[in-house]
Amino acid sequence: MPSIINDNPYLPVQAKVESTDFESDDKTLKTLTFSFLTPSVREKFNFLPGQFIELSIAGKGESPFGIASNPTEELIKITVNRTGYVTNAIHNLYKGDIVGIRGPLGNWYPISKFVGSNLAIISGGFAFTTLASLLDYLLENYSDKLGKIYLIYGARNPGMLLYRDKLKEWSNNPRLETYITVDNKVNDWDGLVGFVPDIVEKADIDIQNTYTVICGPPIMIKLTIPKLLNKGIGKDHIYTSLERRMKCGIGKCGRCNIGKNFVCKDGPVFSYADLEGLPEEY
Amino acid sequence: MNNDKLITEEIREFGRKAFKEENVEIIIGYESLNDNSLKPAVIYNENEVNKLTWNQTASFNLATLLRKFKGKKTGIIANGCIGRSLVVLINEGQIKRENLVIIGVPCQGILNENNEELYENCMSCKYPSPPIFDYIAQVEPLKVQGDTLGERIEKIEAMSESEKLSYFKEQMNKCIRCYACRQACPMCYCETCFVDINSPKWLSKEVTNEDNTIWNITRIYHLAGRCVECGACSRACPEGLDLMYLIGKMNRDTKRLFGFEAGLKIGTKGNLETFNPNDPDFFWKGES
Amino acid sequence: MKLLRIKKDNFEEALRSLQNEFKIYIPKKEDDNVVFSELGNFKDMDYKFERTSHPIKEFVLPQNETLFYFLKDGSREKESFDTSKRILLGVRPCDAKTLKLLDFNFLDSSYIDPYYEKRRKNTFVISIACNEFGENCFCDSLGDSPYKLNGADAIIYSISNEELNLLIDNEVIFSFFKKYSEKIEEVNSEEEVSEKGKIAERATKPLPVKELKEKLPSLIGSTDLWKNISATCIECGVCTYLCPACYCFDINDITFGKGGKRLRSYDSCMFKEYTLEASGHNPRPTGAERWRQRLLHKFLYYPDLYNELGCSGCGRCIDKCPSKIDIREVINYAFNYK
Repeated sequence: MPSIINDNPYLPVQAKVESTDFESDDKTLKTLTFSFLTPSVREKFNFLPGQFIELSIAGKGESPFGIASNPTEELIKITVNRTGYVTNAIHNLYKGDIVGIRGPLGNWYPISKFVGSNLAIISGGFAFTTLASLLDYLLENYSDKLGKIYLIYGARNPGMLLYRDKLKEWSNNPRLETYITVDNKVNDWDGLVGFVPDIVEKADIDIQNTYTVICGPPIMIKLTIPKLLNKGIGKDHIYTSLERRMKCGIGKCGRCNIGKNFVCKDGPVFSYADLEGLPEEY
Repeated sequence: MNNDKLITEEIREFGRKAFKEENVEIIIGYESLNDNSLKPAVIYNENEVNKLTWNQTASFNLATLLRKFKGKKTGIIANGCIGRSLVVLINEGQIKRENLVIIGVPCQGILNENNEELYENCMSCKYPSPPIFDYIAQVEPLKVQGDTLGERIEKIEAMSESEKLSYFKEQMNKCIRCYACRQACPMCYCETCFVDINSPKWLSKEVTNEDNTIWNITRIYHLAGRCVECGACSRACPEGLDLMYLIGKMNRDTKRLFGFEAGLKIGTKGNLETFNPNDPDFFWKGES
Repeated sequence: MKLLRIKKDNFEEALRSLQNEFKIYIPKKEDDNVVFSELGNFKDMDYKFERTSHPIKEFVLPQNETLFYFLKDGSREKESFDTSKRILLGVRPCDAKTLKLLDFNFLDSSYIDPYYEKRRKNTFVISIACNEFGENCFCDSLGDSPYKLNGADAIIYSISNEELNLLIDNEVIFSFFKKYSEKIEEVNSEEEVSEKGKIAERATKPLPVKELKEKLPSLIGSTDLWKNISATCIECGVCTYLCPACYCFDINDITFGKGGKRLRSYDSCMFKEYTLEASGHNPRPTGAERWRQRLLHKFLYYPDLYNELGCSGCGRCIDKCPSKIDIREVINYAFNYK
């Protein structure tokens, strides 16, 4: 496991806000990028898609965020939903403000398993962050090692889709089949309409030798997995990234466990086979 | 002692009726442990009715459990304390009277941990019988035995300012902020307690004398005009804080300043929920 | 391991010399509670060593612990560690065991908790074998013994009017007691001597914890079971506060003026807010799911991960539960559930 960048796993490393931009039209989602105050830290901060950081605002607290940037990018990028005490403070950050970062935390998408197979990336809402990182990374470094690549991604409405520039690029990229959907029909949207689980059901995915990765709100995961199983995709070919309330992020405070695994330390990436039989606490 | 057996028989009979004739889905009452002390129990059908027991170790306030069974037609064993709690909860819109079947017990007093004396709030209890009920056991309730709690409160009030402060700080030092007092109280039903709100942040998670003071005083004042002095908080506290004194003083102040006691009549509003032009208003008229 | 026989006054001399380097804590009565407090005056040494109302986890994982101080503009951070050395004298074996249990979580090799580690390295335990069972003690029902080391650094097996029998499993502690002892025997394993501390067998009913562990995975979906167990639970969390093996904590920032500190404080899986997410979604929405977590954590997950139960049978949760929920009954009920 890539090691956490500070000897004391509770102590954040100082970083600087490089940019802040609204990601969604309703301004509830904001994308921020960070650089470490000490440049040599970035070399040690080796992460893989799927991992997360705990972003610390001194005096407000910490929250976990999946890393949305490609590991080969210089800056660390996250997208934050304004929903509570800490995320409010994050939305109020300016370029140049000092924050703390603990990470990289958690495990990562098992790319070595995907090699040689098809891959379907399925996501909903603003949980798309780590999957965007994964897709970018794979297209850049593993394009010749993977079979067909599918992207199925949906949001409540067009204004809530993340990384729309990237989405356009990917829609025009012949290397992958993209299905971008919104929950309800709106004007100016001539793409797909429908909930992600339904689009997954209808999509023509080659199920032979295909891995799937799902990341979204709990309800979306709970509705999509049965559709995949119905299509004939095996439990060990379904991967998901779970979210839970977290505090320590390193498997000590006890709160994010599902069974004997901690979402922060043994996850957040789990296969459906791992989760079977465990309390559905996600 | 004799009354315990009588009461137990009667509540079992009423329990049977509650299931058969009133269609309750559950009954909340007490069942007996091996040493004959009572613990709260939920029974789900007529066949379990013989578990229901009453004796003088019934120290848990059953009204606290109602929030876990919202919407169900519920039977509940109720002495004065529990009955008054039900009145407050009904007045505050937390439960509907028609969803309750109240099996009343004229309380004989509750014995404290050494099982020989009554709790101090039982000694001076003026309302041993539930103010509302659907059935009631036919026994005589406990008569007032004295006012040990009132006397003890007066003694503390007669101390000098510094002695009083020192006693209060001693209690606050014991608090470990486990919030068992809050959980045991039927009237502490807020979906999110003020201690768990972080915007604004009323107090920190740090266990300091200051934050313990904010916690205890605020909780007690949130109960002004709502507390029935059942003592559940004091018994739940694992550290032995003198909550009976704090709650008792607040209740006596409420009675003195507003002429109000909680949980006696359906349809009344607590003294902090309403304004009465005839309030004594000592505190801004300069008298004490 | 060394078995020592020491006269009481020599024992106290040894403690005095230890006091130059360590703070020594013994159980002292304070109102209705027994609390580990500093041994100041040796007059307080009554050799009763009653079991404390609180577990000893407070020494390695205090209720409030400052992780670090900061300035609000994020420009500076300063860690805060406690490295004071202490000896806890008169710890019951059920409490001594739990240091071992907490070590599994905090000293797990994936991340070592530096705050816990420093405190733990500097905390030594001299336990005392129990000579009678408390009202709600059930360590023996779990297969444990109230007269074994259980990971303590030393254990007092017997105390007569004049002398003590002390088994020491720690070089540092031994070096202090060595020259004060009447007799020193080399011992290869605890089993050779633990019979010395054995108290009268009692007709305990062993609890089916091994069998329960096998059955629990199949009970995860039994919603009625968990509803029944938790029906009278008021989720006050007292069980978790007083449990020696419970360690869940919260982390929050506290500010004062231009700076502040990041504080960790006890939390409880029995509270609704424990898993409540900012969106309002709660993976453990009712007391039923929370009770399931409590039981599974102690009797399934801990044994799965570490081969030890997450419970040492001290019985404090049974003593203080306002609803008188008895975890032994819960174990039997779950085991017999169809």
